[in-house]
Amino acid sequence: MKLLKIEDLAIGFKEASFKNIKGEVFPGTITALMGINGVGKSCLLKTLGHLIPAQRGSLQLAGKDFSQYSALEFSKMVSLVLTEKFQVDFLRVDELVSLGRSPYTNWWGDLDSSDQQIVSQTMQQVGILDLKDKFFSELSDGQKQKVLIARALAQNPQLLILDEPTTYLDIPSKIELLKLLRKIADQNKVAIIMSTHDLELVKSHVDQVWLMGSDGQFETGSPESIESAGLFQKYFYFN
Amino acid sequence: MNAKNLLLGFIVIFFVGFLLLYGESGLSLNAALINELRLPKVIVCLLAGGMLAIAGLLMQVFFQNPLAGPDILGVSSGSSLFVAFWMMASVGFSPAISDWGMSVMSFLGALSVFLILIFFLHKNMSRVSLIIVGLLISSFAASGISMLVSLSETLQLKNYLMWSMGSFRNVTSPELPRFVLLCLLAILPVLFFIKALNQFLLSENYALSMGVNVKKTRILFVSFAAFQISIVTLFCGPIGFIGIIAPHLARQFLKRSQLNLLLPATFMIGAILALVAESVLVLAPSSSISVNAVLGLIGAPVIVLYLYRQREWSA
Repeated sequence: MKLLKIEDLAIGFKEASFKNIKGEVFPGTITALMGINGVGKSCLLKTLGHLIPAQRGSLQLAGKDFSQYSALEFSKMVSLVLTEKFQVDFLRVDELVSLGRSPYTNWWGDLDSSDQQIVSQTMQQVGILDLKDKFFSELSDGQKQKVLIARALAQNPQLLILDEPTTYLDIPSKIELLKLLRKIADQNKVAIIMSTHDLELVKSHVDQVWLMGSDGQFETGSPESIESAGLFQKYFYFN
Repeated sequence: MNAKNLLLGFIVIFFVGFLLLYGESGLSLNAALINELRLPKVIVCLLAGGMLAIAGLLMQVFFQNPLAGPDILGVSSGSSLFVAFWMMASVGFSPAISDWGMSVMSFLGALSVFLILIFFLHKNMSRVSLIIVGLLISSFAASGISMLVSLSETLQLKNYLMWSMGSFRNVTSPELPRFVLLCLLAILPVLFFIKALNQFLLSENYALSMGVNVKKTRILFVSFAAFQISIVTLFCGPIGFIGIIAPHLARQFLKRSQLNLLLPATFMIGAILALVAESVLVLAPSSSISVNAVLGLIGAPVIVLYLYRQREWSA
């Protein structure tokens, strides 16, 4: 069954800056969102994450319109890994990951035993269990990215949205991250949408590509079909 | 948890509190003296210091800025300016109206500075620029106040100057219950949004994605911080530095950022700072040192040290 269905969507911060977006996302798949800088990838991801309103069009999550969800219900369905940097001293990794449980906890934010179990399972799955007592500010970029992914997973989402998760990583870490995302998609049956510029990784690791063309065209398809239609060529290589 | 640190905090508070209660001019145990003068002072130090510290912490989380504080962002000054204006303007009003007006003005002053800061925050002003705006608001308020002072009659001037020095001794024992009640009203509700504060630790967008009603929470943060700062300013005059340094010291002390732990620790350290500053005045009773002078001597180096340790901190 479709998890996310987008029809005739127009996005933008103040006015519609990119129109006619449509697409579908299924559980357990990875979708790569591509496009040159400034075309509106972050804006689309923020719209899908319900951080900013859609300018027009319909967005359905698990058969229900976005507007039918309360903020809390939505947070139990969709979680995010954003590009924005934040500076918090002395925030431990396990505390940061635990924040992902906050939609489920009581007024004081207490973790019950099942919350704690989910937090440690998530840290194990992402491979950061050995970092749990470290401070977030001490970690490398790759480790930080994993911690943020663990936080998002602890939220127990059906849709995980990541804004440029591979950008600051070296090549081995990029590959490791995509393998991790594949594992998450398979094991948790989570649908993943991520924006990225890494063409080669996209070709080998994702199920579906959404391409926001610099000419305002929105193209969707498998990496192979996008490749054979010459669309990567059209939008990413210049003669 | 850090039960040991907590205990240590309590011991320090008891010790300094005891010193203030009984230590002044020898070990005088005159009960009336203690009840009438010293006990109110100790209670005011505890509550005002702790509350300013919490206001600072709320602001640091809200503005995502470790340098935010009631004084550095100009909130205390805004409150002072409005109070000064009312002190000069309310001549001839009945005492009741004049009193009420002063409370309202103190709150409005703090709130209006917050509104200015939020406006700039929403225009994506950088954290460093926002602090400069805060400092400019302070100097604007100081200029405004000095204009008012030069226009005023002698009696108000004297009242105002006394008040503007800042002191934990301004609250008299009949006023004490009202002060304590207001403090409790301003502090206790904060416990109910500790969870939201934690969710705000990363960023507003992350808070939003975890189901927080960001608009409502923002209004709560800001009104409570303004309420807290205005109570202290109203009763004690402008008090500097506690709001900005207490959260830092608490973080250093606990090595944690989770608000469930940090908030009580910050309160405690704010209270200790106020008590320590006040006891310095007690130890040098002949001169007329103001509590702000002592806090400045402690506070400024602490901030500089913090900045030095955070060299890679970016705007």
